[in-house]
Amino acid sequence: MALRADAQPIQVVAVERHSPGRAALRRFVRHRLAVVGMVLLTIIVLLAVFADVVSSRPFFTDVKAVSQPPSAEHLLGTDRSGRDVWARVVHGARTSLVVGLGAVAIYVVIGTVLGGIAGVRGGRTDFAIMRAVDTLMSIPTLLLVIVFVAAIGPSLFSVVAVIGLLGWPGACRLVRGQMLSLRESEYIMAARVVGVSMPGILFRHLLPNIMSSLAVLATFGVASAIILEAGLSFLGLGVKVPVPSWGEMINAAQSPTVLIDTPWLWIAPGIAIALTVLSVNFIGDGLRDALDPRAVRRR
Amino acid sequence: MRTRGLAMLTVAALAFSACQAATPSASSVPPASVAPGGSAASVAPSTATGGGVTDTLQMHWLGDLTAIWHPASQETFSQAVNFQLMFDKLIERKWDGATWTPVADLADTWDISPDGLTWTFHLHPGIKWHDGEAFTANDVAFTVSRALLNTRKNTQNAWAAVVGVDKVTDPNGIASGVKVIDDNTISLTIGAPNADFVSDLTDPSAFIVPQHILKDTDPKAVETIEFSTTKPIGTGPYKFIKYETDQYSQFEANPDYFQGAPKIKNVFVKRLLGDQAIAQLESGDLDLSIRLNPAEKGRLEKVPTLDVLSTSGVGTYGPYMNMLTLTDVKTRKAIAMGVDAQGIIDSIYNGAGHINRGVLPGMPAADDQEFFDYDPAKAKQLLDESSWDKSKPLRIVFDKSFAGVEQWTPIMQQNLQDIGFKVELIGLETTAAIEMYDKIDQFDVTIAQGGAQGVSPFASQIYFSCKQTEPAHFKTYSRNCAIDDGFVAARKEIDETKRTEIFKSVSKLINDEVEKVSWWTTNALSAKTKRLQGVTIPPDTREFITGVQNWTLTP
Amino acid sequence: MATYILRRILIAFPVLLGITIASFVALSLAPGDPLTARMDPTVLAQLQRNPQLLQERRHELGLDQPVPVRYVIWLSGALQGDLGYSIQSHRPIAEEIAKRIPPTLALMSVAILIAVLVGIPLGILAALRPYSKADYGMTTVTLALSSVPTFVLGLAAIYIFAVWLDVLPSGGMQTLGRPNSILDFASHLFLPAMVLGLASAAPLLRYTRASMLEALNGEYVVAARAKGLTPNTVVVRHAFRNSLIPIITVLGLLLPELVAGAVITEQIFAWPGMGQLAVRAASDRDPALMMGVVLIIGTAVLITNILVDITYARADPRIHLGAAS
Repeated sequence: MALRADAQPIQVVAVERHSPGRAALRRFVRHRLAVVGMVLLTIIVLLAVFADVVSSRPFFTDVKAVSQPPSAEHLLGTDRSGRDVWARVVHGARTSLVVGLGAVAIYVVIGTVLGGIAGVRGGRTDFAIMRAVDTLMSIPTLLLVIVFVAAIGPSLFSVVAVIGLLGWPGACRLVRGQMLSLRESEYIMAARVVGVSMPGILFRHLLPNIMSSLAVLATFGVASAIILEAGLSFLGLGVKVPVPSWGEMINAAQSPTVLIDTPWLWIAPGIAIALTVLSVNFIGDGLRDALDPRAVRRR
Repeated sequence: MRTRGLAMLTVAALAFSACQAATPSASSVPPASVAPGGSAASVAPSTATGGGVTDTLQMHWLGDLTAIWHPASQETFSQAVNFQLMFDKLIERKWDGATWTPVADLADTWDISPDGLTWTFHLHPGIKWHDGEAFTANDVAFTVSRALLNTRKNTQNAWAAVVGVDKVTDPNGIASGVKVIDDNTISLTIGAPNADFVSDLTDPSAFIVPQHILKDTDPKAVETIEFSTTKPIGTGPYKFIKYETDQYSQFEANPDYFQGAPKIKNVFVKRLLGDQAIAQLESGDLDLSIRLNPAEKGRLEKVPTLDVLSTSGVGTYGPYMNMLTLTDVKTRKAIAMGVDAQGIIDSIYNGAGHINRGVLPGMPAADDQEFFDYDPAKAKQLLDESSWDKSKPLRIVFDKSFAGVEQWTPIMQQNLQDIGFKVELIGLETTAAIEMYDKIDQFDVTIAQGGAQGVSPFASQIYFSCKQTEPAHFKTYSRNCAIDDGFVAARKEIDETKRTEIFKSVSKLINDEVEKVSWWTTNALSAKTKRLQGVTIPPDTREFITGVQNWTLTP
Repeated sequence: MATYILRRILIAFPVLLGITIASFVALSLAPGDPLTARMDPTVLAQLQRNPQLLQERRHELGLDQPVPVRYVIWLSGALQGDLGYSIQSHRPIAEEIAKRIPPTLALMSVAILIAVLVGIPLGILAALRPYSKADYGMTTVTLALSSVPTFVLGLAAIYIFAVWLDVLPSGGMQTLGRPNSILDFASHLFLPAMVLGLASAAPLLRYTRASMLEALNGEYVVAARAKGLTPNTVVVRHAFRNSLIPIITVLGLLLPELVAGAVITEQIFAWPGMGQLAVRAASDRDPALMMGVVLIIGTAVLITNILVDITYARADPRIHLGAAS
């Protein structure tokens, strides 16, 4: 402990001057890319919300103008049914953001809570939770998702709920693994000895430590949830057919013609997914720095 | 199934003329030029590398496959492609671009008794099975008589029409309607005049199987006997070597083939996804591919090593109305006339298709029949006059696996919304779609994909069997018994002119119901390497293997 | 430790049972009918017209039994080592699966190797120079990679290497009509393994970077630096060792991910492995085949999980497995 104080005395002082929340916010804002990510995500969300304002009708088909390259009239070209790609990208953002961010938020929370409990409590609780994880992880996710979505009835809500409720084992294992390690570490022991309550320890000390791994998990989770939704749409279990989603749009690239001859059909949604994922990643980085006062940024 | 429905029926039914017998005497190719049969391991390495291989053909047919090699169990088109390579039928059919004619296969000639009931087949002498045993009329008698005892039998079975086949109980018994006259002559008697019997004889379920191998097997175990799983023996141009599950089936030339030894030694029928096939054609890993997605035509035409063949094919699309919910004929007409079929052909299929005027494939249209050409103004007016509640969604179910369907259904949706419908599209994956058709209160229209020209109209009869109540989706049909009666009458009518007249009246009846409408037919897209010679893709793609023994690969 | 492992193995059996029950119920609830899923419309239409024959076929396949009965029949067979027959090919499922395991193992082990060799070193590199151009470059590339579905990557790879450059085969496991050789096999393995491996390297790289950053900021590393240890020693001995826990977890998580990835990769490259078999089982609604696949994959995942937990204890001696009870 002494070593730590010696190493970064200035920071410790700095932290103590403000309330922890404001300090965290300050550290987050100082993380330039996190701010960029935040701005980016805000723009994407705003585009989704005001999709009707910034684009024309996403369902309007023009049989005389199918698979047209980008032009003044159609900024990103038209798709194989003669629909405006830009309109479909911004309208598709609604579906994809809700699925990507919503489902991942649900399962990261569930996974963190259960993984935290398993890692901290250990013993029977750990054993029970981990066997549930084993079971869920051993059954092909898509199969489970298909069955549950089919049972509830396909809709945007059920896709989010089902991916969210079934996707947590990964996060759970990850958190639990780190908890196992951290539980035994000196400063947690110290905190326990001092009598800090377990939830307190969890929130104050452990959460910042697993934040970076969780951010990565969430980053990739968002991308795969967006793509999984497209898979479900293909099975008739996602959003209703003409409603656009990024995954559905990028799926078109399965056709060699689309992949090579009309790349604007899949590059636009591909970039949209990448930008969303990138901003989630940067925000995750920023959160880690914000929540973990120890984090030093060497440049 | 119904959506893929109608005459696609006969894609299987009449399909796949194995071993076209147009020139049975053409066996002048010296068998010495082809090495006798061998195992998979003994396949000789080709001398050439890369694109220059001339002794090995790699082809592909898109579709599901049941890997049982007994023709009785034929239930997928891909299976029939394999059967064609290794088996023969009594007679075959030849498509000349407008009509089809029966031609010789195992039987050189055949006579029909004046009453149309007794068919006598004169078999080509000296034919041998792949294992060297002689083929005789007894093999035919065996195949016919045992047909209905086999498990997993194809229900659309030509032999069911032969007298006594349904009464055979002994696996080696001979049906009363089957008479072996001598080793090369056999007669079959059918119970009633049947204008369609000749086309039934060209069905993939009508391949002849060897008595000497199957006589000691249990017909109740067709799917597990060695013959079905690993060692099918036929008389066809190619011998079966092996099947690697989900990868390929491998064949080797039969040097003793009675219609001439095949010139290409090895044939692989690959299992691939449609998009993979395109890539493999471009990379030279595939020599021939049938049934590609017509939307990929433009891309393939740019590849210099390929011949792209766009032939009037197996993609008839149109709405099937749910007669329980679309009770007013005006509503149905509004749907039929409300979709810009030509626009869809031009934009989605690059013009590779045409508007359909006849109601059913192979059925002549009546002279005074009404056509439902695209006319949005008229359609709108019809809808306004009809009893349809426009605030209700018009629920249209379709199978997403149909080529191009995901591209044109939004256009259809927009067309129908423009005339006043509120349209809900329900796109499902094949199995889910099949299940949906029986939930008869959950849809108003299903999209059907059907077959092509050259198909006998009888293939579509099942959709009009007015008394059928199972499965549930039959209840959504018009159930007009006059149509069914018309089919029955036509089947009994052997005189072709009179039969055409009956069909015309049936066509009008069906058309007046506005129940099953076909909007357009797309062309079938096939592609082959320019090095492959002798292949003709008939207007009907299913006959493509005909004459495979004459195909060659140039270096 | 030994008791812990034994206990884990014993408990694996009820878990496996749970997996099979859940999968069986899920399968029977999923839309679609095993009998008709694969049939051509014409054959199906004919069959549906003949309800009695349909019933007969259902009976032949045992589909007329209620779900619990079918499960018990399946289970008692499985316990005796009989996984039943595939509806599609009517071959023994054990035989079908046995054929698929070697190709899948080959594909997966090479893919894991690629993922580890690419992901971990680059992740460490990124962590050593965080927020540098190289770090951002890797971040962008890996995230872009994860934003494009595997089948698009696969198809693109086929076009680049098999069609345009014409240096590698476009799919399958061997060149048809030519004798098998190791070189031929390797050339067919290369593209699918690369696509699968790189797709998995992306998350691995990110996790490694994250936990290395975490570890490099830890007090023990600071202490080690202060002790005057060389930077390399610090990174390898201290930081990397301490960042192992999350990396091991991720490697454990990678297996189910790889299986899922393999489904698509095998499909696009016509690689005859378990993934392709799983797809067929699903699209044919072939219940027995699906159960066989689930059983094998489930067992593999369970074993991995046990190994991961044991490795935790090895990597971090402070962890006492099962200590609490």
